[in-house]
Amino acid sequence: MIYLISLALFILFFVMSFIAGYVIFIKTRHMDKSFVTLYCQGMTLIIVIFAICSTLCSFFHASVRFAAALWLCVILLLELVFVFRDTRLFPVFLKELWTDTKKRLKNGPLTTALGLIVFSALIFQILFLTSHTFYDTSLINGIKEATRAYETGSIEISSPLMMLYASLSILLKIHPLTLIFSIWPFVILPVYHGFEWSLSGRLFKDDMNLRLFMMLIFNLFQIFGYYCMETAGGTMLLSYYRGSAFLLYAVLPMGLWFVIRFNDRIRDRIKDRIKESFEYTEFTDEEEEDMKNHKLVNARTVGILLLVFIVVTAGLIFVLNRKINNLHNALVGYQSAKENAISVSEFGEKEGSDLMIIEKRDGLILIGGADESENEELLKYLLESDKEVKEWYIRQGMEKDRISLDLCKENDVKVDKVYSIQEASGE
Amino acid sequence: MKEIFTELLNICEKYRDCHKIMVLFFMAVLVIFLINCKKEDEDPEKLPDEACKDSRVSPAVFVLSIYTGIAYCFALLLRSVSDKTDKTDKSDIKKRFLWIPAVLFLSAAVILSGNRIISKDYYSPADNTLHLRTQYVAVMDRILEDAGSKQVIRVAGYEAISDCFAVYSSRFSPLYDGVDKDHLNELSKDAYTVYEQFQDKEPDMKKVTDALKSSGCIYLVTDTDKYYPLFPASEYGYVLLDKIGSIEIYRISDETGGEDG
Repeated sequence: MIYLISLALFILFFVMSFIAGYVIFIKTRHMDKSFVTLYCQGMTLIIVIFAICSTLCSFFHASVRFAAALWLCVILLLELVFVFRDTRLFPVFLKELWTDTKKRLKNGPLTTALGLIVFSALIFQILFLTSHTFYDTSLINGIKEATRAYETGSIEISSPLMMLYASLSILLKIHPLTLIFSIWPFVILPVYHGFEWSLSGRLFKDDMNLRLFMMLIFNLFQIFGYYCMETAGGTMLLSYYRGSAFLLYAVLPMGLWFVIRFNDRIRDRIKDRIKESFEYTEFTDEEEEDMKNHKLVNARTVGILLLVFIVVTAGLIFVLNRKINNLHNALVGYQSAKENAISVSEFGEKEGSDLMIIEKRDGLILIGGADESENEELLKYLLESDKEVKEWYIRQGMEKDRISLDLCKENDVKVDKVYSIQEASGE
Repeated sequence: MKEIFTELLNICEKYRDCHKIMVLFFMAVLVIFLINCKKEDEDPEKLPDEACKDSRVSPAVFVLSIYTGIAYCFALLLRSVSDKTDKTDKSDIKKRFLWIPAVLFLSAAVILSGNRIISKDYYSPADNTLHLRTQYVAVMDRILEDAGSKQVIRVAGYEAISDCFAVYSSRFSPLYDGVDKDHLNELSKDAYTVYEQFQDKEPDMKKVTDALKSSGCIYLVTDTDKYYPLFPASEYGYVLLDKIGSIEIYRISDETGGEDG
């Protein structure tokens, strides 16, 4: 049953993501007609739309159900507008996409074998995640926000991804834990791996073997690359459901993908200009060398300066932040110490008195008892004091402690709690 | 500067188990450096547009993640190995298969660098679709059943089950959960006392129950397979509600804590 729900959710998300990817394709004209790229980018877009809807709804104290409904409306509206804006464009796009994909799938036996290994590794990871539990329960703590939203319907602004799980859980009528651990790997892991695949396409263009090798190394890191608990947040298999993993494996790769594409476009323009200028201008070897050196020196100097600036600024911010935090903590500690001001004194004029009085802001703590001759003085002190006795520790077997306590109680000195303690033997 | 270095040393100490990935990282950076150096030296006669095409070796990928960056650099290394062979020359056939040991070597470097995540050391077969231990689910259901219509259930237990309470139901309000071992000072005094006691195999139930009473916890969950206290919690104002497997559920007695704790 759970696999059927997973499949249904995957298909739903695939269709929604694919059309959302088409919207991105139309708006940015990135020209990469690939199912994987469209699916991954579309998926990121719809999750980001949910994050926006959820944040907006939290401002108006709307429920998570309303946020989910708003999200679905926005996506449907956006997708329908773009699909039906030009009714001929979408079918043509689909046809071209299919032709391109068929061309790409024609590969040699080596590429096919490598592709199968990479694909099997992905499937293996998904199936493993859905059928196994990680021992360390401290990692699942963030899910409590999804559970709270699922049970109470209230939105928490801090984690939109958890709110997405809560809304989907409400929609599917299953517990968020079931959604996250048994279903979500089927939906999100292909997206994370798909982004790496798209990125490798940008980096290695047409070389399918290199792209697959890059994916193979990436998969090996996912399976064998567990180093320590400090890096658990960035390890995909341990934290695929967290917001940090979504940022690291979806939002950032998408951003980098567009940066590389932008860079390629600029490079192509420069190439065209250089070609044009070469047709009209001829430089001597010395001039060429000089130009090359200047270009390199300038680019390197600026790059190094920027790097140094970033490192120094980051270091300064880091140190300043620590200092401010330490200062804040010290201030808080000082204030709390001031509020609970404490003074410890021995009662009586004799040296080595048996009664210790600890004076706190909210009351007194007495340990032991006064000598018989000093009992009247103790009584007077306690009656005149504006603080009541919160705790009195009577030593077992010390008669004078009991006498002091009884005398005070007889004279209406309020004593909150009395404890009997055994003195240490002193060995 | 001294402070920066002290902080850096602290961070290095914290991540000391990650030294192997750092070796791979520096290896990858070296690969980029060497490939870039090589590109500058080779073929000065090459047309600028070709040079432009070839110079796409960018360390910017490391911004994304160290894994992606290393994977990219290894693929570059493989490209530079396979580029050495002249594919039209039949005598160069042996060199053409240079990439096979290269692939094996690079894959082995990754495999041997870290620990296998997919292993019995970290994972166990899931008991149910919730991916929580069935015993834990039964314990939490029992507490929910006992609490009736109470909306907030103050509960405490050892670390592993404590992390599951709020994740399972929002009605649970655990004394502590998701404890960050580097920030134990963020725990309240009572939470710290209970947490500290459950780090020991022989927790002092007097201290635990005192802390629970002071923080208003009605339920206490312990595991008889993991903890062997000198005196059970029933000696200190808690009564045994139920035992599920090795897990014991205690509830504050009406005499001690009353209904509202």
